[in-house]
Amino acid sequence: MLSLEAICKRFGDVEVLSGISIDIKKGDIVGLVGPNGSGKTTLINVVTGMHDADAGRVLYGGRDIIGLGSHHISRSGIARTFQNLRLFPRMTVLENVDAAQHGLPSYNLYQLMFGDREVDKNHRQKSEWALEQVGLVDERDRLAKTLPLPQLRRLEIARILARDPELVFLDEPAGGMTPAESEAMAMLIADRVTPGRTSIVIEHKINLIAQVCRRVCVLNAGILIADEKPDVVFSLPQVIEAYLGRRKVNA
Amino acid sequence: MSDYAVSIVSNMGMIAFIALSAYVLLVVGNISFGQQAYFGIGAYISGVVTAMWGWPLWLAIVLGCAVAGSAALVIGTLTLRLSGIYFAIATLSFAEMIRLGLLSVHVQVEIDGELVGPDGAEGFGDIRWIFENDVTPFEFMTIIYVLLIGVLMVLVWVERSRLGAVIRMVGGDPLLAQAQGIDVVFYRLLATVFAGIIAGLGGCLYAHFTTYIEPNVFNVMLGVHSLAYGLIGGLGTAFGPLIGVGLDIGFLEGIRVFQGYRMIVFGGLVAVLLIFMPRGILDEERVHRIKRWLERS
Amino acid sequence: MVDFIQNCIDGVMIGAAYGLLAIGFTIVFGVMRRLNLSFGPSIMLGAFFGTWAFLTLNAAPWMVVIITITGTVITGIYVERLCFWAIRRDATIASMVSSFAVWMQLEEVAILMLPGRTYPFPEMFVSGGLNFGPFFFRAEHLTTLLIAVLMVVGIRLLLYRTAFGLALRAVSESPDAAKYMGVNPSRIIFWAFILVSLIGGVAGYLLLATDQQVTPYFGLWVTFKGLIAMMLGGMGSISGAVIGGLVLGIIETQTQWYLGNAFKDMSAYFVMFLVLVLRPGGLLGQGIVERHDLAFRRV
Repeated sequence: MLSLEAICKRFGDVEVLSGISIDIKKGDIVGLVGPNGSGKTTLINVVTGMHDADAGRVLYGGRDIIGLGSHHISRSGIARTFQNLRLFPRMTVLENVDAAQHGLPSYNLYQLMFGDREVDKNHRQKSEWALEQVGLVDERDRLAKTLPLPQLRRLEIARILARDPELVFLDEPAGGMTPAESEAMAMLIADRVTPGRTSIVIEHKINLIAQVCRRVCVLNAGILIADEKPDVVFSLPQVIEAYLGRRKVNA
Repeated sequence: MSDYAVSIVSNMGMIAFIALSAYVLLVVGNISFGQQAYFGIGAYISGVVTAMWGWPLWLAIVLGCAVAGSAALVIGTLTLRLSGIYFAIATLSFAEMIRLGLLSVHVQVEIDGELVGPDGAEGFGDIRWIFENDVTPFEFMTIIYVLLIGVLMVLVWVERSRLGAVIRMVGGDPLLAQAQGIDVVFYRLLATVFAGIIAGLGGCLYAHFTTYIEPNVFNVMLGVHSLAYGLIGGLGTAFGPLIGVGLDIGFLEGIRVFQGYRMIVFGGLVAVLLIFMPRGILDEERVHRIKRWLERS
Repeated sequence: MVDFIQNCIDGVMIGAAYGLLAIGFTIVFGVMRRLNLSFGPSIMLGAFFGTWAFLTLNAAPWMVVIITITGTVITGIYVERLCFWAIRRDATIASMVSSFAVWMQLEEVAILMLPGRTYPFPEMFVSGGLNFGPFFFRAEHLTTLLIAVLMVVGIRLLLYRTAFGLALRAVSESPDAAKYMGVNPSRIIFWAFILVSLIGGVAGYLLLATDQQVTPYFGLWVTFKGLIAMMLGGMGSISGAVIGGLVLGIIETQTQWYLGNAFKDMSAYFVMFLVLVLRPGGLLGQGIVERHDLAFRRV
């Protein structure tokens, strides 16, 4: 479904991505891990159209989507969350979830202005349902900026659910959460987000990756160094070395 | 209603247009120091149409708004890559170019033995439409307010629709909006053109109310004032800028006792207000709370 | 050709003062990410104090210098406390509008102090001029250039060789990180304002003593010159501010000579607009990069 071919990206003098190639099939649930600075978020940014790639192609449904612009890519069925948590702080929780649907192809300018009873009702129902799924129904009228972090992370998930994309990128969905909260988030993702949906999850928390994903790609310094099942990948020597550094050999 | 009161209220009405214009741009995420340019374009174009060509007022307004909107489209497109202070300075430069340019425009025709038309720094006088059509100041004031209420209705309605939500999304976090499928460029331009039209409309009315306009009226002070009204009154609703206008013109005129110290008092009040309410009196939070309170009762 | 070069010379010397003004805006914007619209008016008020002293107390030129600069600094402190320190860090437009409101206040104070449009400002302590071949150098211009150069060198030393300068640069990059290093951003901003007011007071004095008159509109005028010069050279860098000032000075003198007064200001704005549209980072800037937080500064 999504095919990354030899993606290269540099910022100034630094080569952040050096020829990344990953093939993702429909229904895959892929974890993307690697030390800080290995290029994970940049990779998502390139695929979702926020940055241009210096080289390589991204094939989605057979079409190269490099250079398309993030709103086109979003409208073709790819959604993402953000590592540093992006929401509309001055809108309510419900409005934030609604907002995720305003950009859908089902809305053109005329409908945005004048509304369409059927479409509007559908979307409102989806928003309510999404809030229910993540347990935020009681907070629906609160301004987003008054919510604590774990609830904001769940709001991001609600947005994804309401949007119902074919392909989703979750960028550190448990970022800043305690182990107990991460466990709850892992269950939420495994129960509601990934079933039947192609997903790519970036995380540092190995437990979450192990619980949610069926396949793990490891990035280090812009290069893909492993692509295996979760139980195999974390015992690979090159992966351990990437995280912990090379073991010093004394004579 | 005394002549004086009519004059003050009319003034408020006309300035409200440019305040709403700056407000629309603020909501979509841009700080503009240049809306006075479209106000001025509307004024001059409409003046030319009625005073020099002798056409009816409604046509003058349509043409004035059309030219102002087109100029807004051009400038909006050129400044797409800019935001924040860069955008502000760019709009300021454009507005000043218009003002300085108008100082060099000398185009006059002879009508009934007199020269009528823009005459650079001497201004553009004899915009006589209200005299030729026997319109009293009170009647013109009603025209101003009918149009203002029309614009307000459009703004309020947009605000309650999904289009309003989209505009606020673009203003709140364009990156996020874009990632959610919103064509940020399109909506920014849409808001920019609409803001230009509103300002142009105000300018058309201004030219015909005062019957004399000159380039130095459309200066940066007017522009920054209109920005300030939205910020003082609140960015949560279209009524915010109106409150700002009312406070400045209405209140200030009212406290004649401070003659000579008016700006010191008003400036101080504004500075203190902004400490406690940085997004204005009717900011998004307060509007949200008012809405919930209204729903509950 | 001689005219062209003479204009360049004059432009560079006036531009040196513009550069100082631009440095003032740059430092404040760099350290606070907010625009101080009262910078020009503070200088204007300081100059009015100076003129008042000159007219009523018959103050000597050096006295006027001191009063002008002190007046600017005191006003600068007032502006800093009310419009910037008191307002939440992320409310950038609120600070800007507040500084605009204070601008209105300062103008009114100036008019109350000296009602009337124009007042004479004492001439500088030097006068006359220097001839060098076919070119003429006004003494005031030379003094302006000399003092400006000294100040720029001093500012660079301050920024790159002192602890205060390091702290200032740290706060400009990231106030939060600076806090972790034990730097108090509010205190640094306060002192930055004092520094900037000093620079502004000097620049204002140099410009007014050359012109020998002052009006309440001087504040607006200074604001425009400083902002344009800052933007031309690219925001966020001292060298940029200086270059921008020089370029602005040259553009002004050349267009005034060849096209007349009417087009002098317009060409400055035109160039400004072109630079912003074509090269938003300014002549020395890098163009706006995606991650540049200034580009994504939201309302």
